[in-house]
Amino acid sequence: MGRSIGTWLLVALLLVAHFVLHVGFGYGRGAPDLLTIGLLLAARETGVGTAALVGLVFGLLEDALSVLAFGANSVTMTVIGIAGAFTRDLFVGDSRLFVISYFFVGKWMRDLLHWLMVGEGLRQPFASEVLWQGTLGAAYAALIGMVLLTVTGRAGEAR
Amino acid sequence: MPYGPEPETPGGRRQVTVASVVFIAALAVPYSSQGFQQQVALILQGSALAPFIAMQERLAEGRARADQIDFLQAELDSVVAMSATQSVLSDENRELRELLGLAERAGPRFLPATLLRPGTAGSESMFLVNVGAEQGVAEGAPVVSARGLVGVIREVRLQSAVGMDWTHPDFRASGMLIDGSTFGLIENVRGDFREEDRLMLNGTAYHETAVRDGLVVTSGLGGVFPRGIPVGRIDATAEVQGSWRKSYWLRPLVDPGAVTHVLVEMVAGGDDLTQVWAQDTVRVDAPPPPRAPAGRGSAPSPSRPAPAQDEPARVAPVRTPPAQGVVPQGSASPAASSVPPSPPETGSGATAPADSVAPAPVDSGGASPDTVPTDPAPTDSVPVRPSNPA
Repeated sequence: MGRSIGTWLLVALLLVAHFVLHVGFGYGRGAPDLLTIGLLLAARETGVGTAALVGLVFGLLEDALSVLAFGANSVTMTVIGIAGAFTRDLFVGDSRLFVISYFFVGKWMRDLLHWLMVGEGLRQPFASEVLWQGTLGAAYAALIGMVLLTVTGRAGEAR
Repeated sequence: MPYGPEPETPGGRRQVTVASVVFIAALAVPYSSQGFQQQVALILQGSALAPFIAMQERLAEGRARADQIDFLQAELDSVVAMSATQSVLSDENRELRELLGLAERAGPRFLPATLLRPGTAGSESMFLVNVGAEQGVAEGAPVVSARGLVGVIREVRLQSAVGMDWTHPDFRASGMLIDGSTFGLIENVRGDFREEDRLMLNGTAYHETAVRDGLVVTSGLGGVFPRGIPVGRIDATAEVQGSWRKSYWLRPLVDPGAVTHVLVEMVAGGDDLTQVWAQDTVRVDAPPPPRAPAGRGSAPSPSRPAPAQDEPARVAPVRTPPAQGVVPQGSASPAASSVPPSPPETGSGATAPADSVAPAPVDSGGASPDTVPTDPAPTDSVPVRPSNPA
C-alpha cells in the first residue's frame, strides 16, 4: 500500500516536473520525457484499465499544447499505458536490465506510435525522428528512469 | 489436480473493460470535431496547464527585462561616453570662442590656425600650424592664443609652418611688466626634467622690483614680437647677482601642451598689442590681503615692512598708466621670504600666498572685465629665491 502511494506521488511529481521543464522553462528535447517515464512507472503498479486511463489523461494534457495533431498523444499514451500494464504479466521482477530495457523500449515505442499517429502532413523523416531522435530519447529516458528508481529506493530488487 | 487456466485476479475483467473503453475513447479523440478538440485544449490550458503556461510567460518577461537591462546599460554607457566626449568638445569650444574674440580684436593681421604636435623624438617643444607662406605667414611670426604667447614660427612652408613654443631652450623674447617697468629677457630655463622647465625674466635692473603676480608682456624690443603679448606672471625672485641684476621666475599663462588652436601673425614684430589682450583676457588680480608675520618665510605686512634679506625696501614704480581693463599693481613692499619655483599656472589667476609652496595653476585668462578687481590692495614684493634650479 505504501509503495503504491509512493509511486503515485512520484508519478505526480514527474508530471509536474515534465511540464515545468518543457512548458515553463521551454527546454524541449533537452529535458527528458518525464511524462512517459511516469506513465511507465504507473503502469507497473496498476491494472491495465487504470494505466490506460492515466495514459489517456497524460496524452490529453500533451495534446492540449499540440495544435495540429490533437489526439496523437492520447492514443499513443493510452497504448503505452496498456502495454506497460501487460508487462506485469509477462515480466516479473525489477532487475536493472529489465528496468532499463522497460524504459528504453517504452519510450521508443511511444515515439514510434506518435510518429505513426501524427499524420503524413506533419510527419518527420523516420530515420531522423524515430531511429535517431527516438533512440536518443529512449536512452535518455532509460537513464533518468533508472536514476529515479535508484534515488527513490525502488530499485532495491535490481540485480 | 488437473491443469487449467490461471485464475483471474480480482477486478481483472473490469480493468480490461475499462482499458478497452479508454482505448476506444482515445482512438476517437483524433477523429473528433475540431471544435471539440479546441474546447478540450482550452479547458486543459486554462486549468491543469495554466500554472506552467504562466510560468513560461513570467520567464519570457524576465528574459525580456534582462535584455532591456542590457539595452539600458548600453544606453547608459553611450550617454557616459558621449558626455565625456562633450566635455572635451566643451573645452575646445571655449578655447575657440576665446580665440574668436581675440581674432576679432586683433584684426586681419592674425590668421587662425590649428596647432599640431608631431609627438616624435626630437620634436619636443616644436609644433606645426596649418598655415604657411601662401597664407602670408613669415618666419619669426609670433604664435598666440587667447591667453598669451605660445611661441614663434621658425620655418615656413607653403601650406604649413613649424614653430617652437616657449619651452624650447632656444626661445627668447624681450619682456617687461605690463606697466612698462622692469625690462628683461624672457627665456626658458631647463630643469632636470621637462616638467621642471621654467620661464624666467632675466637681466632686469637691480634697482627695479617686480611685484608678485605682476603681468609680464612682450616689450617689442628686438622687433621679433610685438609689444603687449602676455607671457606670464611674476612668481618669485630667481636670482640676484651682486647689486646690478635680478631675475624672476614666471608663471606662464599658456600651457603649450593644451593648446590646439592659435593665431599666427602674418608679420613679425608688429604694433602694440596690449589692447588686444587687455579687454578681457589679461587681468591683474588683486593681491592677497596682508598677513601678519608668522615667522620665517611669511610675507610681511605693508604696514609693518619686514627687512629684506639682501636688498633694501623698494616700491615698484608705475611709469605708464595701465591699459584698459588692467588694474595697476599696488605698491610693493620688500621681499622677505623664499619661495620655491612653481609650475605653470593654469587656474583662474588667484594669487597664492607668498610663502606658499603649492604649485599655482595656469592662468585661464577667461574672466570677464566685471570680475577684475578694481581696488588694488598693497601687495608683497617678490620673494627672493636664492638659487637657480637650472
